Amino acid sequence: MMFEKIRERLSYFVGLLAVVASLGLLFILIYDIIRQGGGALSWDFITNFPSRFPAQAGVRSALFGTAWVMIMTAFISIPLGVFTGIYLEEFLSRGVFKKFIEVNISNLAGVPSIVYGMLGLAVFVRAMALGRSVLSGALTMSLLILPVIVIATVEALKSVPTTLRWAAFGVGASRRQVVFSHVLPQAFPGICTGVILALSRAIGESAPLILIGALSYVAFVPENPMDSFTVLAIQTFNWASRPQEAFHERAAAAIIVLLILTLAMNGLAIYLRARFAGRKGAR
Amino acid sequence: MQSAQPIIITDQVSIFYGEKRAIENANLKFYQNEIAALIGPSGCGKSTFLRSINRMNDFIATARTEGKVIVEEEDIYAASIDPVLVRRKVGMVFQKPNPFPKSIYDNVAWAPRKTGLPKSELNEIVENSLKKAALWEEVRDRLHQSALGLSGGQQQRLCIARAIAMQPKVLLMDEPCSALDPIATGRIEDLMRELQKDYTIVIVTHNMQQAARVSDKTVFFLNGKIIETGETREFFTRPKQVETENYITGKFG
Repeated sequence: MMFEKIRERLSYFVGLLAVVASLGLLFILIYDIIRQGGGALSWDFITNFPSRFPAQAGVRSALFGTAWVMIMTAFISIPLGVFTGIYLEEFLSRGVFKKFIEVNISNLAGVPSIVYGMLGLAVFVRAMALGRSVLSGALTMSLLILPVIVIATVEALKSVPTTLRWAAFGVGASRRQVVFSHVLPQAFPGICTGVILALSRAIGESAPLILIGALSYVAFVPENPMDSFTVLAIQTFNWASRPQEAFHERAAAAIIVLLILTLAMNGLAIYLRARFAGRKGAR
Repeated sequence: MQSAQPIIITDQVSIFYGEKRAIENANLKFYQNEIAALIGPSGCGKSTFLRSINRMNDFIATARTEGKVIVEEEDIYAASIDPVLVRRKVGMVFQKPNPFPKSIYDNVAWAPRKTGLPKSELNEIVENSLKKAALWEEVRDRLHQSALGLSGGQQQRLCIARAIAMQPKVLLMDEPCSALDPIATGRIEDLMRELQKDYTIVIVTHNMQQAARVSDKTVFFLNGKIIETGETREFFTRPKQVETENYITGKFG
């Protein structure tokens, strides 16, 4: 009895300690960044192009570059990933082929991002001659997050109860109708969350984009998919590696912008999930 | 009550899960407007057999069916048959109520709407189906609220309404009352008697009293084989097989 109680308390404290440690580190990190970069944050910082004078340097091109890459990545990876997931889970019958694909997708999700950068460089930039363009960047990023989106979709579909599928089949629904009218609406919040989390992973990636040759000094806003570009993560990396203290301040400020973007995307994920979960069954 | 021609004939039906044979050479006939009860201990294959009548076993990856199941003179396992159309003719009610997470109206209207019926007819179908399922009076004022807000018994009657909205010939019921309380069960049983006027009903039940109360014909399954089939009163009062007698007197199962 005594031991039982002590064990109970002990596991509680270990859990608490883990939570405090991880959250504490996070808060220290955020505090440190805000302390360093908060002063540099201003409207000018958002609207200015980068400059070799730290006081005038801003993230305008990086912000637009990030937006370009993320929007194009979303357009490429979401339909491709979600439909792959639907096909795998709902249409492909169980067998060696399915197993093979599933195992490979899980493995792909664990491949270091820089490997995708090398692939992007070889295939999109060179072989397909797309150059160091927004398009190359978006295609590379899409490859990077596709496995994550596929897995999230499959998991969301798996969580829809089989009895719902039977109910629909039982009234003479075709497989397509079962999937698109009944299963998908139920899986939608889960898919949404997965997709947005995948995109917020992509927004912070720099390695693959550095490899495909996104530039660190871009004094213009990309105007079409074939323009060269930079993104916030690369801009940050560039400023952080300069010797001048003033640029470090800019780097911290750029991180704050990136954090706000990521936070906004996660907020959107939570909002969508709550909204659709609340609507379940209403119509 | 019975017409001469059976509406369902199963001819040497065997069903396998992988290597394991769950049903062995089942030969049965079901007639128009008949309620047939399939009884037997857990794992005897009665639900598996039931699902073979509207090809719901298609969704169990390892299941394989041999023999013929003839519904209205059509072999539903023939290559030319679309199983989707089979399920429109042979509706199903499941063990646990499983309404769509949509409104009450949409639960009933979903399937007929997909066959392209206009809205005016849909309203009529929804009303008629809910009336037939003895649910109309309880839900007429909240047709557009979620079906998940209904009680278990109401949900199961909604599932019945949903099934009859497609105007099937046959209704399969897989232990439809096992998740319901005695009052809700009583209502479903009364309902079955009412539905019998329009449909042929095949019901799987764990509950022998229920089989005795509602059915015209009883079929006893044991280890995948049909042990005995008979007119229900006859079946329960004068069983022909020893196993049947042992089962209905509660010696096993």
